[in-house]
Amino acid sequence: MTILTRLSRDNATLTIDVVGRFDYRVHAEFRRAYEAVSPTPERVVVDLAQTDFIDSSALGMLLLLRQHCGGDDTCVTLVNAKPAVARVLGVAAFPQMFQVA
Amino acid sequence: MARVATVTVRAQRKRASGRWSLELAGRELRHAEPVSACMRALAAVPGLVENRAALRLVITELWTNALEHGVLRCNSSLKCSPAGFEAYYDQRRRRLQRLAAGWIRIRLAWNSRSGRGALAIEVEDSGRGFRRGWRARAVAPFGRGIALVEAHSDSLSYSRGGRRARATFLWR
Repeated sequence: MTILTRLSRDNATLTIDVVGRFDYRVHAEFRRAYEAVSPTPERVVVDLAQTDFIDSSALGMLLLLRQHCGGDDTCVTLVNAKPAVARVLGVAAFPQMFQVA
Repeated sequence: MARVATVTVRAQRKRASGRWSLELAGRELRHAEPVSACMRALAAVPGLVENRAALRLVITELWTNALEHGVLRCNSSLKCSPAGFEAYYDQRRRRLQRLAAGWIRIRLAWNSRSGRGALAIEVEDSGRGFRRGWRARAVAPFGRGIALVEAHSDSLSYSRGGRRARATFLWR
């Protein structure tokens, strides 16, 4: 399992853990993780604590998630990125489009 | 069979240099995972350990571009929606399954001396090439690969009409 999900008790926050490499191989699994939740949660947290690698295809997946959640800068939070992953997010200007914590 | 050639690896007390190349053609491209092979080839290069994450990213992005756009000619604009994103990777899978021609060559060449070093990564494909200069809109879910390579390497250049990419790393 590479993509794990948890829903908060009030169903308002969906947390998605990405374990290992975040690249095109997990695209279908990642999409299912948020599309399977109905109604769309108010907040989605993507926990990158166990993400060892991220590439441009995964950046696309995160932007599609952002679109799915309404497309503003506050609905998706990216947390716990390791330095190499945070560097990629920074290069792509993601701190301006997501909450990064 | 894929052709792997380690042309030279020389190591003296404070100097090391080497070359490594991999060429994959036609059906060999269907299940190829060359990034890990490159990382293994570079594992013993002194001074590169701290650059491993950036290195893996650069090789991944250059390989992805060579395969998906050079050889398979997949259409990135499909990626604009979740359904389109899947359609893109379906297209990639179907074209890979049918692939009979086309090739990608990866060449690595490095030199290091007293803790300083340089590495060149070249990825060349049999595709039609492309013109640089196009940039993704901020929120478009595709088009960031080249910008990531530029930010994670010391230089990136293209030759042969975009068919050959060359990224370099310097360390000290």
